[in-house]
Amino acid sequence: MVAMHEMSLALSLLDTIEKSLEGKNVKKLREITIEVGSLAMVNTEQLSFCFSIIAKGEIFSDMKLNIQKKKAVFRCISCQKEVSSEELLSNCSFCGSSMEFMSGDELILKRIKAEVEDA
Amino acid sequence: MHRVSDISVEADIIQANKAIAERNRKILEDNNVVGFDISGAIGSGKSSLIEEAVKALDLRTGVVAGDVLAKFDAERFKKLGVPTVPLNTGKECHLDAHIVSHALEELPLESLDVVFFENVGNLICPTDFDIGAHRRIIVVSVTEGDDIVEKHPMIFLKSQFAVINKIDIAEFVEASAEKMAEDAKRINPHIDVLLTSVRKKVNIDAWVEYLIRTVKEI
Repeated sequence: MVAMHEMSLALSLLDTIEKSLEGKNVKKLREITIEVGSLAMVNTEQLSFCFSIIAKGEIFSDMKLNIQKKKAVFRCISCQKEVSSEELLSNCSFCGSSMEFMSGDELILKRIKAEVEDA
Repeated sequence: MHRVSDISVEADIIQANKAIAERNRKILEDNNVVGFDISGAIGSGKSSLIEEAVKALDLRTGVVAGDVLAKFDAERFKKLGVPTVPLNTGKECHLDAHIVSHALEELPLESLDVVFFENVGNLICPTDFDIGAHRRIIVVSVTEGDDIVEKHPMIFLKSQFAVINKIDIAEFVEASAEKMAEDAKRINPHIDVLLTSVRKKVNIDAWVEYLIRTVKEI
């Protein structure tokens, strides 16, 4: 048992992959691409490790897990300018006001490259 | 015949948790119950703040005590005579919506007004897991050092209310509670911050007032 929240996320990822493959006659997975917001509380190496433990079976045997980082987006509460950043921004670089967090904590299964058997 | 196919998915991996969280919130609302997720550092005073609230609120309260071994905190709440569900997370480091949904089944929600969900003491793992409460309250204390807020910005960004506790001993641990409050406001301009000492009963009335105000708002 691995004690970290990345294991919960890896289980959710596996579940999301399985749901996406329903009815698609997939024989083998080649590549899974996920997008991780730069401010999601996810250690991507631990996520990869946890996923490799639970993703068992022939279908996963040659699969590559491709993790893409996406910058977070902040908007100034005064001048409304939007800025993307890998780190948390507290003050607007244009007017100095406080910034509002808009996005950057997502964990998205983007696409799956797979060998599919024709019906 | 095999062919290689690109399948576009665009699915939120945390969606399963979010969907259950929404269901939990709906269950609370159907029973006219307001839920507070009390997250925060180990030993920051989460249980003590809940105890003060349970004693002072003229409302019917229940508690879900989440911890690696939940019985210790759960016993404290049971002594106050309120319905309490201990949630042992074992080696897990946070509450998620699924485990909370089972705790809700064990509470007499129809005869409650407020439920406190005491999250596992941890400023990292609970951050991305909505459990279905109406507000998240983040509790830290001066003993964690006055850089604890800036070191864990995301949980402050995802909370609506922050409590900086144990301010009576700030000078002995050479921490500035005011700096911690300023850090929280800088990280999240929408967050309300309260400096408290449960031991010396500083601002406990304001803590209870916040809860009453929020219950009326929801």
